[in-house]
Parts: sequence; C-alpha cells; structure tokens
Amino acid sequence: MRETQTSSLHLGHVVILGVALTALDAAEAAEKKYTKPALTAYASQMPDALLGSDKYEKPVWNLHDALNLPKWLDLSVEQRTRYETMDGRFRTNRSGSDQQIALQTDLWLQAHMGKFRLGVEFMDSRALDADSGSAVNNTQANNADFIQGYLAWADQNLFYSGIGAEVIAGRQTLNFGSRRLVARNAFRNTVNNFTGVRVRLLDYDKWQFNGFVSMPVIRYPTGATDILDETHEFDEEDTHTWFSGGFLELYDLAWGVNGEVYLYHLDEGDSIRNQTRNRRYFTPGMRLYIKPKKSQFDFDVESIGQLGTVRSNTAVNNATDLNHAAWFQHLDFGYTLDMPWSPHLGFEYDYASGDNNPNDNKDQRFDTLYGVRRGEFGPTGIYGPFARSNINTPGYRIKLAPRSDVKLEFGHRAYWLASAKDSWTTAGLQDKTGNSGSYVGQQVEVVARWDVNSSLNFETGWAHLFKGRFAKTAANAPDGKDIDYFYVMSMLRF
Amino acid sequence: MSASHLFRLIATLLLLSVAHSSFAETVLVAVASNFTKPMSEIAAAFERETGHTAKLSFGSSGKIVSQLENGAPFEIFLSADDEKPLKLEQAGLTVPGSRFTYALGTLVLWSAKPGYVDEQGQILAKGGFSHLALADPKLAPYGAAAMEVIQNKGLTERLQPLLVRGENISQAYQFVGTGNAELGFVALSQVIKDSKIGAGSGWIVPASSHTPIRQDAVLMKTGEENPAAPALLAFLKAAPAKAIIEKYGYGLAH
Repeated sequence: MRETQTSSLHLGHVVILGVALTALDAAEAAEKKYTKPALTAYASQMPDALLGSDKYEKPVWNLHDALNLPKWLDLSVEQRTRYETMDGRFRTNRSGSDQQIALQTDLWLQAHMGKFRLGVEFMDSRALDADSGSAVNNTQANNADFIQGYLAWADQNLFYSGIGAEVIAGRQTLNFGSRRLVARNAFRNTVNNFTGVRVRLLDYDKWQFNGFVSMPVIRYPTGATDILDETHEFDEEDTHTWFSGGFLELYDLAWGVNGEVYLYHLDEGDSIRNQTRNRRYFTPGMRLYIKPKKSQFDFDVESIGQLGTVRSNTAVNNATDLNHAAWFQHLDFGYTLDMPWSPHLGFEYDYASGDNNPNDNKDQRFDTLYGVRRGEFGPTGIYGPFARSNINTPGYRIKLAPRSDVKLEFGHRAYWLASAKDSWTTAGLQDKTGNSGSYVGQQVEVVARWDVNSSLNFETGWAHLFKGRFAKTAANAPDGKDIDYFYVMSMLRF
Repeated sequence: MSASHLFRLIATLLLLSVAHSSFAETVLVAVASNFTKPMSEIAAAFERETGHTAKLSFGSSGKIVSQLENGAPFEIFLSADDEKPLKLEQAGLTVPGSRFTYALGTLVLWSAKPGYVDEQGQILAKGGFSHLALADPKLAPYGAAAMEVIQNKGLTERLQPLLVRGENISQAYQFVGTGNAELGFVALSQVIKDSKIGAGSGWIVPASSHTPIRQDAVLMKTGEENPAAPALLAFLKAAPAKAIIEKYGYGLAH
C-alpha cells in the first residue's frame, strides 16, 4: 500500500513537471526566437531578398507602419549615441586622457519593383567632444554621406533551377563569413563601403557563392583638422584601386560543420589625393566552424594566406616593391552549458604574422584588408589597441545570458608581437633591434547588453590594458601607465 | 562542309541543353514537419516520373507561414492543417483556386504498452488510468479532434481531470512514449509500421468520430510561373503519391 502511494506520487510529480515544462515550452514557442541585430545602423542588412525578412524582429516603434507606407517601400531611421572615455595612452606621441561622444544617425530607404530593388542609405557619423589632442580620423567621423546607393535584382528560383540569384550594383557594404577580412563595421562609428557589382548564388541549405568587383570608397575628409572643424566633403570612389573576390560557403559538410573557401584580390594604386603603399595582394583562405549550441561543443578555425607586393611607405617617390608573404591563423573552441544563464566558455587563439627583418626587401606583416576586430580584440572607437596584424594572442571568453534580453561577456587575452622587430601596428611603436621584446600586455574586458525591445538597446563595456615590457620600453612609447577604457551606448531603431 | 558540320553539331548540343532544362525544373517546397517522411518519398517518385525536382524544406507550419509572409522563397506549401493555407489565401499570397487537401490525419488512441488499448477504444469508458495525453485543442487540430471524440462518447466530465496537454502532437506522443501518460491520442503516422500499429497497442479512431483533420497544400504566387509547381500538385493527387500517403497512416480526401 505504502509503496503504491509512493510510486503514484512520483509519477504525479513527473507529469506535473512535464506539464510545467510544456507550459514553459508553449509560452516560449509562442514567442518567436529572433536573431539579435548588431548595435549599429543595421536595418538595411535585416531583409534578405532570397531567404526572406523574418530573421530579425521588426522595430516595435515602427516608422514604416506609423506612416502607413506601402509594402513595396522599406524605410528605417536609426540613431546611436556612445560616450567613450579613455585614461592612459598606447599610441606614440600621445599622453593624458581622452573622451568622445560618437554619434551615428542613419536613414535607409528601399523601393521594391518586382524583382528589382532601388535603395539608398544615408549616414551621418560625428565625433563630438574630440579635440586636437584626440586621435580623431575618418574611422570615427564622416559627416552626412551616402554609404549605399544601389540597384539590385533577385530571383529566388533562377530559371527554375532551385538556385536563388541576386545581383547588387552600385555603392554597397559587404559582409562575408567571419568578417575578419571583409565586413560592414558595427562598433566603429563609420562604415567600409565599396562601389561595384556583387553577384550572389544560393543553393538553399547547401552552398552559397558571392563574387564581386569593386572600388573601395574613400571617406572624406581625412585630415584631423577638417574633421574637428566638421568640414563636409562627399566620399569618393578610389578609382585607382580595385578590390575583388569570390567567397564560397558550404553548409553542413558533416556533423554540423560548415566550411568556407575564398580568394580576395586587392590592387591598390596611387592618386593625387590618395597616396598608398600600392598593396597588390592575393588573399586566399578557408574556414571550418560549428555554431554554438546548448550542450554542444563549437569551434571556429580559419587559415588565411596573403601573397603579393607592397611598398614600405606611401611616399610618391617610393617605387620599390617588397615581396609580400604573410599569414593568419585563428582557432577557437567552446562549450555551451545547458543550465541557467546558458554559460558559454571559449578558448581563443589568433596569430597574424609580422615582418621578420625590417632591413630586407621582404614584407611578412599580415593585412586584415577591410575586416573588423571588435568581437575578438576588444572595443575600437578611441581605444582599439589591437589589430589583426603582427600579433600573437591566446585568451578565453565567457558569455552569459541571464535573461532573454540581457547578455554579459567577459574576455581576457594576452598579447605578444608575432615579430619583435616589426611594429605594434595600432600604436605606431617599433624597435627594429628587437631589444624591447615582444610582450605587449594583457587585456581584460567586460560587456553588458540590454535589449529593452526591438527598437531600443543599451550596451556598456569596460576594458583594461595591463602594459607589458614592449608597450612600456619601446622608443617613443608614452608613459608606462596602464589604460582604462569605458563606454556606454544607446541604440534606437524605428 | 567542315564548318557547316561543326555548326550543326554545336546547334544540336545547344538545343539538347535547352530542351533538357525546359523539362527539368525545380520547385521549392515548404513541408510541415509531420509530413517529412511521406513527402521525401513522394519527391523522389516525382523526380523519377516527371524529371522535375522538388526541393524540400521542413518546419512547423506556423513558422513556415511567418516566413512566407516575409518573403521566403517557397513556391508550394504543404501545411499540417487547413487554416494556415486559407490564411495565406486571404492575404493574397497564393494562386486562387490552388488550395486542396492532400492528406487527412488519422487519430489513434495509443499506449506504449502492448495489449493496453483494445481495438474498440473501450478503455476510455472503462478507465483505470491516471493520465490521458493529447495535443492542446486550442493549438493543434489533432487535439481538437481528440476532444471531439471524448465529447461524442460523453466522457468529457470524467476524463477532464486526467488530461495532459502537449503543445503539439509530437509532445503528446512523447508523453505516451515515455510512459508519463498511460495512453493518449496521437497521429497514426507516428506509430504506424508496415501498415499497422508498430509498437504498443491502439485504437484507430474512425474518421466519422471527429471533424476531418485536413492537411492542405497551396500554390504560392511566387511559384505561379514555374512548370514544376503544378506538376507537383498534380502528382500529389496521382495514384503513386496516394499510395505513399496511405502507407504512412494518412487518409485521402475525396
């Protein structure tokens, strides 16, 4: 009798638990799981002409709906404000603290006409509270300019082959793969863009190919004085430089592993207003990865080579081509625990080659082309001490999701120069003798993000750089004081 | 002579190439999760018979509708119910007149225990169990049909306290399959093997006991010009497809 009661009670608990979980599941199922957008002007990136537009949640405060605009017209206004403060310096010939208010305002308009789309995206990026002591440049400010203006065509089933095709012609932003080489910037206040043609082919769930030929766009003005004075000048295509490539993605090769194979070509030429190092690089690469998922290991391994010629500086009279051969390796692996806050623990390693001998006619310093570095090397903005160039860095990262609308992240990395005789590229510091060693320091960072709703987001972060021997002792290094960087950011999207 | 011959050869090859492509189109199809296995077989048979390819994408019907409303690339939609295709039709996203019922769901009162459910379903009235699983009637057509059966037998008041609701028919099946519920209403397609209930025991509920569980297909406007699309819709009504549909435990609309 007693045993029977116990058994019945146990079964009851199991069923009650099952029902409770079912209720939770039902509630969760009713609430569609959307991908969280980047905290930047991003509305133009959310619809996909081949896959549809339901990946991201529409802004709850919705300008399109409020104005009763027709379905064939897309409209979005976005505004981001970020206050940054930095105490301590790492760049040569800099001292003291710095602060900035980075403003980014964006208007995107797109009209649909059958299979064609005509779009324009207008962005205003300003760096307030910067002064002559700031390291302001055209990565932080670019007043009132068109970052996109394009005519696009898409067919979801090209000649009924089962393959989707899209062609985009005009000024446009590009985003490929891991975004380590070609990316539409997110944290940075301005955006890389290109004028040219891109062709996209998609065999749904199997592979995707992007091919493009373009001229990079130069953001004007470039001089700090003009930027501080908020002089306006429209951006222009760099008609002497060609950037092209092909990017193939292969989905679910085996055991959930995805693959990428790609080749980029950069052919840089001088013009009167834009003296360059005449980079002529072929950059082939490949990547294998599994996306993070609960109770599952994930990894990302990417190998990139870079071959060609380059000159040692931008001087007009420098006609000596150095043989360029460089490489980059990324490896990360992690695990997401199936428990409250869904902790993701990850180990990361990056190696980007540096030039071995500053006195020969060879160059081995890796060039990250148009990639982004925020996700792996910490905040940029007025900070940004690390780039994918002459760097050797292991680290770990912990990500937490205490609530569906809150994300926390903690990262810790140690940094060495890949070649002690090459420069710490972002700082402009170099010891050609190699006597200052290669140890740059360690960086810890914390980020917290709160998605209030689909129209309003906040993010705050802090990073601390513990300077190592090289950062303190190399010639022209600023004082040995460690660096603290802090930002708080709001994002509005209508 | 040689140049002329070469020209004719090239022209012939080009014509063959064009001819081949004009008879071998691909249609993009969104399929409800519960119809994965039968549709995979039907697509293979369709390709063998017509030369066309049906490229299948599986998911919940609700999710597929959301995707279709936001420009997803599907040209034909095979829903797990008849409400969602009607909703898309009313939104003007489908080709008028193309909607039809491709399969009827068959309801089964099933238990993982052999011999537990008799072939007439009398255990419902007899009782002796603590938990009866079914899909949520408000969310799932199988759940609504199950409630109709219970009501028609006059057992609502007696069985109401014993009901365990799953979000969908898959969850209801899991409740029974894991033994958390002694029995439950599931889909025949979930338990059928070699044309009969493959494991445990069950009562195949007569179709007349509840409103038909209609699974409708519809042609989206995006597929209107694709020759493979009406070919697939026609094939779904043909004998080979019907045989596959029945093999997996579904009924056929007349």
